[in-house]
Amino acid sequence: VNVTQRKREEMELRHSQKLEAVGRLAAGIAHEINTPIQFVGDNTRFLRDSFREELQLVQKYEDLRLAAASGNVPPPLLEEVLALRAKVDWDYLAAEIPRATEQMLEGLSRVSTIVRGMKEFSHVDRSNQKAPGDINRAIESTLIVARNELKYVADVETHLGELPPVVCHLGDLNQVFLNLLVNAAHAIDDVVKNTGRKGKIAVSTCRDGDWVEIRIADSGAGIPEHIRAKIFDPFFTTKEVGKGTGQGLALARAIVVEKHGGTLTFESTLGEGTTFIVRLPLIGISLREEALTR
Amino acid sequence: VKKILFVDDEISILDGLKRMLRPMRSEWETSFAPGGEAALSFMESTHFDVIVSDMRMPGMDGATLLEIVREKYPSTLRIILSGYTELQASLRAVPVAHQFLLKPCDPDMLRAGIARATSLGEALDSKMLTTLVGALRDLPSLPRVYGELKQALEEPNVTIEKISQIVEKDVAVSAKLLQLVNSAFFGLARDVTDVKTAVSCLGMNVLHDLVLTLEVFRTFTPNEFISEQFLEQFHRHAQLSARIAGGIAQKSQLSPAVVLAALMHDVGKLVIAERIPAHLARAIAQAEADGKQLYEVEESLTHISHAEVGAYLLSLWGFPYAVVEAVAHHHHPRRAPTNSLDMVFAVYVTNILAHELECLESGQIPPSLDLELLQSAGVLDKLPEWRKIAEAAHATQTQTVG
Repeated sequence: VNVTQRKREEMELRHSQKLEAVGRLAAGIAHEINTPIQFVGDNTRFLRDSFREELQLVQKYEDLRLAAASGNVPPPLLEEVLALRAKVDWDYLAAEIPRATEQMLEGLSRVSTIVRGMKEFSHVDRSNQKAPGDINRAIESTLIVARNELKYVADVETHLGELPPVVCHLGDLNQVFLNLLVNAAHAIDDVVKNTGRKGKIAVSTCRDGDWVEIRIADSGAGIPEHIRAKIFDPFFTTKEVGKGTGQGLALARAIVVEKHGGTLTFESTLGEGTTFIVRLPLIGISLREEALTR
Repeated sequence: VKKILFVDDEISILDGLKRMLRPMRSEWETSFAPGGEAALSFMESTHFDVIVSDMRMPGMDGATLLEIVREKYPSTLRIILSGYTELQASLRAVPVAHQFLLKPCDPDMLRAGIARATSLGEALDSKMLTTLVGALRDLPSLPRVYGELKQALEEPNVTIEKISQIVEKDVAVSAKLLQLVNSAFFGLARDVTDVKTAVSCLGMNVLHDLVLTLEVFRTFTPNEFISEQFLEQFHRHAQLSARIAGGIAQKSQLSPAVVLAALMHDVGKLVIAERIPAHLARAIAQAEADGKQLYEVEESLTHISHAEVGAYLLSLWGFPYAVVEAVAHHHHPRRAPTNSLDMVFAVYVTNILAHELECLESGQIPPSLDLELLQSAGVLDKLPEWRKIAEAAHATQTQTVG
């Protein structure tokens, strides 16, 4: 009874943590989508307004063509064409319209990237069975949904090496990556707050024999010696109220270690930053879980 | 031609704005800066009438930028343009932004916001006024009321009624909340002219953030020129005027906005007390010595009284134009354009009736009513009734205070 109860409690906790993350991300994602919506809208208005002017100009040229066809082009008509061309500022429009449409297309592709990222991030692990998953893609989609949380405090660098599929619960791992990235942003924010500067987050992946290794490094203040032993404890937090529940790292550790048979460790240097290292076995089944299922 | 500077960290947004605003090119000369630092270096070489900034930007954010602009270029109108999702972040700019506009915005909205904020400044055309009011950071609140408000907001089940009742007692907080709720940011289709509606539109969360988390309001600290008693008296007068205006509005079926105009009619005094307290203290002393009204002394010194100062502030903050006009002309209703006479008259009369009652206690000389004007407006016969309303309001106030 105790084991089932504990498992259920764990699941509920994980679920509520996920909801919290979704809520926090939603505002940021809305902003990321709003930005292209605004400039696509502005450019559309521009195209609408300029088309009206172009139409006038084309009409004037049409008059000119008809006159030319009849073999009699009155000189005032030529001047009217030139005057209208200058008023409409055709040279500006000819240069600007292609730029506007390029930016509109870029804006639309930004929106679809975000939508794809959201879909991939919210990947639902269909069963209790692990399935082969693309870790690099998971990291990329997590970076897309977390972009608004990160971009004001840090530039993000990625070095994603070639990885074979990893047998895993991808949805759970997304949650781990998100927690580590948000922690990195908070660590940097503590250092750069009100300075006008930005920090750096470096994300890298590589294969190491039968394992893959994911490193998430921040340029924050580093973790003080005396709390290093406690950071994975449930409910341990140094963040102000409302910013963290103290569950992020404990859950990340549970997902990586207990569910995947991997390791979650960190290296930290005061004044330079912290790197969290996730290591996952390619076959993804922890010995303990294997023993349990038998 | 107005010079307008737009600031955003997204180049695509700036490009889009630039193209979209092309139809305005005969009225506006627009410039575009990709960040706070760039904006400030633009401003070093060019005077801008208006700055429109995004809120969240890496490095210097919109609130920080506008704070610097307030200090260095006080006469520039400061507008925040941000997405609704950034509401929380945008509240940080409440002390320094004159207007809040919502993204995505179209030229009409932008034009309306700018027109609303600059029309009175252009009409008055006074450099002293734009600098005096433009450099204002915030209005001081009554410490007593502010403490009460903080305490009430900490209560878990506090009602909107209770919060509104407290807010109404403080002109500075009332003005700020009405500014916010009337900004395009909240996208309300109509003007909000009473504190209670403002409080319920903003909601408890926003209020909580403004007062407790961001601490955007500041309480008054008495100094060598301005005593706490001055501020208490100021608020008593504002309260009494609002009560009288409420009674008159009900009887004469005037717009309820009259109450707001009466509450705010002397807000310019707060601006002057905040920015040039020595000047105010001198003017008060001279008025007492010469047996004159404060506005008369102010006008003889600078051609401008607290009425214009207050009206200009309210217009920058996007208050309904009828309120702005009533505040501007509350000493000289004859100078008001004829279309808004009801409102201007009501505030003019209300102010004097309140003074009459207050002077009974203090022994000072109240300003006299222009009976000829009331006669020509056909409202002279209503005066006895208005006096009764005023006396009742005064009695209620004395009771509540005692």
